[in-house]
Amino acid sequence: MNKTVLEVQNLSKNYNNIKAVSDLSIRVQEQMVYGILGPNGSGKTTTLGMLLGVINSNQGTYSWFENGTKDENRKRIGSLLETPNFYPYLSAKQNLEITAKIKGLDDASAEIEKVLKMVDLYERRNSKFKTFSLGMKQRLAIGGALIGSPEVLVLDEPTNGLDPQGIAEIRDLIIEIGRKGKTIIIASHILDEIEKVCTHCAILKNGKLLRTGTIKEIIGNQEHTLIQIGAKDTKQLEKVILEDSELSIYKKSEENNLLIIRVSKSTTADQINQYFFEKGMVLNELVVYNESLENQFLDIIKEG
Amino acid sequence: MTRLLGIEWLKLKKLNTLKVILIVYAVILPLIFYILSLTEAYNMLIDNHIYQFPDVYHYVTYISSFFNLLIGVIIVVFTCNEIKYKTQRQNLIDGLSKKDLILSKFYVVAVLSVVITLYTFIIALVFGFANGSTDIFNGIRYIGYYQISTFGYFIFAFFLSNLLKNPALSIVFYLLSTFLEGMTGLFAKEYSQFFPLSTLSNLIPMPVLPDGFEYAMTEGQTASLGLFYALVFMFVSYYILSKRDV
Repeated sequence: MNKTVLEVQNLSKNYNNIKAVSDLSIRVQEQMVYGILGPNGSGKTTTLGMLLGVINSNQGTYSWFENGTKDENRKRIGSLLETPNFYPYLSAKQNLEITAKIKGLDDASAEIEKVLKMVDLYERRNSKFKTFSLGMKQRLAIGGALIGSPEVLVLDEPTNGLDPQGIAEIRDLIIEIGRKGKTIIIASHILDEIEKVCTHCAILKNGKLLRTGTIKEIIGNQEHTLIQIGAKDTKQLEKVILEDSELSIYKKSEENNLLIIRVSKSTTADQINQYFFEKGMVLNELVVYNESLENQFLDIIKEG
Repeated sequence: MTRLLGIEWLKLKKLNTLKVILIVYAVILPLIFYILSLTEAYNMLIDNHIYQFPDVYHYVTYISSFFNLLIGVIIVVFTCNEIKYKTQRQNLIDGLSKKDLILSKFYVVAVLSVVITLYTFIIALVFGFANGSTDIFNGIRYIGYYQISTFGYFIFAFFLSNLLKNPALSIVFYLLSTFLEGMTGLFAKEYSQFFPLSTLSNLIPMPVLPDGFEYAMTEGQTASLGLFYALVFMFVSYYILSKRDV
């Protein structure tokens, strides 16, 4: 049994009459990569703010490392909350020196160098923070969270403001850190991000917990795979599909004459191609369609 | 304490506001004090004794107290920066407690007021010796009072910044408070002398009291009340921060 890193019980926060977070209970165990998924305004940042001691809760408790709400717990947690917060008139290096000193690292220059290289800012280490682009600021914030190799990382929308390459790099970095056995908590409104990176996940809406469990339990349990196909004669293609009870149309795309069909999970693309070929149809498009995950997420959100 | 001060030093050492204001202050104080000797009032009223012990202490600290606002601006800018840049929030997230946040600013204020007081002391010594007097212990209590006075003023600047979270508003309210207490003083000095800023200001009274007004408190009592106000501002600042979502 892994140790409990974070235990949250009935945590609530009201802003006047609005319940930003209500009655939230979750448990995060060592080595989990735990995603908090929810649309904008679902209470993700408010939740993390309470867990990181910057927002006072109205009700409920939380405990880090089975050590309560003590301030020194946060020295063992590397966090990025909402925005990159740094001194604009200081360089990347000088800013991280402050982070390191707060974390209690005495001679941190080697650590800072290592972290700056990890987030690809080493070349710009002596540039002032205010000269950085949004993506660079975000990367520095992730670097700040990594200072001192904390046992737990708390990352709120870590890929915010990054370009596609930056997003891929940061995700790889998070996956790599997770593999090393660190516990990671990630808040995001992007399902794809949670799905690619996390082992466990909680879904929030309007401050309420809708579901929690492993990624597979929550979003990986579809009975069908969706495949997008196309052929010259769409009408004929449709007819072939309707004749077969094993296949069904999930969605029609009017603009490019493509069909999205449901097939059983074990079906491979080869088999589909062959199947239609035998029916006298030549496919000019055949890809696995991923929207179902997104839809499933939206369905969960709608139910709530 | 050294750890918190170390963290604050990393933030302060590259802050241009600090450098510029300290340089201006360092130049302007001795300059103005010297220029006094060139004025007509000098010949008529005050004379050479202001440059000699013991009066030099009183006059230097009195002149210096006019520039408290300059140093107050450093405190205001430094404190409001932490809120504007959300670095206060980040410091907290990274592992400081709210008590640490208040204490670290408290130490900065204390160090700044010591530096300012020491500088004022040195100016007084230089003028005193340069004008041929040697009795340096007489009147030196004004340096002590000045220490309490600057500390109180700077804590008040911190208190306003922490409360209002905005540098312009904080400076306006700083000036407004001084003005309001001064106005009250015109009508009811018997009460206003107990007000916070008046108490701090009365630690270094006008060297030549025009109206022969007598303060109700002894110097020692005024100093104690000034320190008491400084601590109250500190604790209220902590209370505000502890209740606030940062």
